[in-house]
Amino acid sequence: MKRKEIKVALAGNPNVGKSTLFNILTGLRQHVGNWPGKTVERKEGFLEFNGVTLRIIDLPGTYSLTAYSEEEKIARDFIIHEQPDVVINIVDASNLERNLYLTLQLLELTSNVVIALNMIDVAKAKGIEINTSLLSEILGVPVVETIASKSIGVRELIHKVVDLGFGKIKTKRFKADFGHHIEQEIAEIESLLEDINTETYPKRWLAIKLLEHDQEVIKLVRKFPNSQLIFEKLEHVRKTEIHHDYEVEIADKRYEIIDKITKKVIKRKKIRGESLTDKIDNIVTHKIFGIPILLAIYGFVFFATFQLSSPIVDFFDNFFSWLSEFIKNFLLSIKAPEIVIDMIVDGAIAGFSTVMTFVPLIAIFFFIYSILEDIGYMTRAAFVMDRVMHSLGLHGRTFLCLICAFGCNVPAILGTRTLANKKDKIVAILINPLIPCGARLGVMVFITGIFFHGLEATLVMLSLLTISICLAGVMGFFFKRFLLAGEHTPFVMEMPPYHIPNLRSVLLHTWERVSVFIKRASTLIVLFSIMMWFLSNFPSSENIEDTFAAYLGKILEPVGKLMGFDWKVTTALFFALLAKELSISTLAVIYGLESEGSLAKLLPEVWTPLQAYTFLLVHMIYVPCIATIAVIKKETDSWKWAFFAVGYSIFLAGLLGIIVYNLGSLFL
Amino acid sequence: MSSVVPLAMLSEGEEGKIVSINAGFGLSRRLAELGFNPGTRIKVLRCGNGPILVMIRDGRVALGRGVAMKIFVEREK
Repeated sequence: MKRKEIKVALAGNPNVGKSTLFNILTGLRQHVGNWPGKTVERKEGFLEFNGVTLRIIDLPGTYSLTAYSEEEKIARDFIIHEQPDVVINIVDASNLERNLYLTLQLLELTSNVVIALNMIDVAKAKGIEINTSLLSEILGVPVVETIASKSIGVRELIHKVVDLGFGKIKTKRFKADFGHHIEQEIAEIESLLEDINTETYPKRWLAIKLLEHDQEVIKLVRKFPNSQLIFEKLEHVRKTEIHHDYEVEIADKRYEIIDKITKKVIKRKKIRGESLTDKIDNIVTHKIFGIPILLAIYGFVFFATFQLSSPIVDFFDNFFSWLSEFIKNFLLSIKAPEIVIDMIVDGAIAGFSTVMTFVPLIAIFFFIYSILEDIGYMTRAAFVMDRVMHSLGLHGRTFLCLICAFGCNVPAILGTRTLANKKDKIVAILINPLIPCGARLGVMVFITGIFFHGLEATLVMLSLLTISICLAGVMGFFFKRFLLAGEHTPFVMEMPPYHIPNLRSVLLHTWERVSVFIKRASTLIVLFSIMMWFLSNFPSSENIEDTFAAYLGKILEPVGKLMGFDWKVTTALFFALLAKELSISTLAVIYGLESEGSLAKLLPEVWTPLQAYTFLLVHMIYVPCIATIAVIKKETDSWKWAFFAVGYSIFLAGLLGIIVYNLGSLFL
Repeated sequence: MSSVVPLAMLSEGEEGKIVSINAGFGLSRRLAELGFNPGTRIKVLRCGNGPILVMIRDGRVALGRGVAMKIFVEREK
């Protein structure tokens, strides 16, 4: 019987359109999780094609397949252990040399490869003509020209994948020639491996990796029986050829091989004038205008988020007040007990509806953000900021992690592992929570929108964001200087050419963020709202002062008073420890007990704009959510740093809250 | 006239050929993987006080000044 499922792995460098291709192939039929035991995201999706199911696994984007990063290890282990039927290697045609580096390493592992020569249009615009059939002949595997962002060539790619999966196409094993000297060493090690059962590991690959001194492979081969001879040989090589650094030499050799290939397959036409990417780069990476442009772009993002979302937020508001009225009447009509009605209407629906009003904000924010990311602007932002970060003693990549934090601190902190230096990494982690995540931004946008309007609202948001970025800079400087002094780590970062974003990919990315938020909102937050309803209705539902919530808030009130907060606010801030967006639902439930109407109408009656601003500031700075604390603990591998992050941010928030409130009271 | 200088010494628009990379083990490997190999042509697209932006093998790479001081290039007219 014919096999109906093909296992396909998608491999490629970062920024070559890999996730766009993945989204086009699988659409909404995808599952996002983590690689087992790892913090790297794992995406898997399905595609039905002529009665065949393609199970597509998106491998992490990598330049290489060494053992130095988690991503590279995951990618190569997957290919070795899971033995996918087909590996799609997506390659940037406009930057073929760099991309073939990974291709050569993939071909060392398997010859079941189909190459998607992507961005063929960008290559043409750069005057690069590629002889696809010759490239296919040299590498021994099918090559398909694609433009993933326009879904061009994708059908043919799928055809080739299916044909290869069913063995209708035969591939040749490509053997790279590393030159006489290296080949001799490889051959000797390979012959020593001959009598050893190396499981699914290709012997030549093991030999190359042993010569490259790959720590993982060394550990692995040590476990094989009778492998002592190999290590004696390696020891001999190391002692007699001290001047050889095989790892760098083999990397250089791979590029020599690539040069030979590209000389044959690439024809270059001289293109007059600068490319579009150069023209844009001349502006956005400008020495003087670079940073103002960066700020202007961020300003625009938040302005657009406000303007576009406010009618939708109003709609949700009205919808949910209609819904809660409707359900209340329904429950009254079936004579449900009053306590149940209260719990459902004032607890569950109140909490859920407040949170749901976030959805348009988060959706629009991430929609714009994903477009900027897809275009390729984010790496330019890191480039522009590196000068500033460098003078603070911080790495430019730290800034990328900080930008990421605007989405969520959890992946941003996980992203700090791109910093090779441990001390740099801890500094980046410690300052990361100072940058407000999507949830906090949502709360900030929501409350700012209640108290301030138009230009004023934009200025308030920008001032808060400037404070958060400055704090991150200042704290980073202090941590680096006094707590974790060390060397600068080298800044090396690839800057992809600009390209027009793919709408489908951007929408899927936005949907991913929103759906994660909704999942959290509908479970954790609703449960929490009910709990809050309980805490604020017992032991007494008559007297608000006589509830568990009030007891808690009152314990914290003396500190809150210094910032102009009463116990209701301190209670909300206390509960936001679990997840920052809960502060709003907590406020809704607490105030909902006293007065009718939505929070948006009620807050201006009980808070002054100064109190609102102080609340926003404190809320932005103090303690990240439980999830963030957990990740900090995991990434620093110490509770000490996790507690430190919590402690210093509470202190900082309190201090700034007191200063701003008291200074503000003097002047306003 | 040709002379070997650190990459950071080239000015905007200047081109050169990599002669050697004089960096520690980790950085050398990373640069080699990205295609910074002896003999490769390199062009400086942007430089200033901060990091420099170079064009190498059809790709753009940003390098910190410290890194750019460790890559030695032969200047070309």
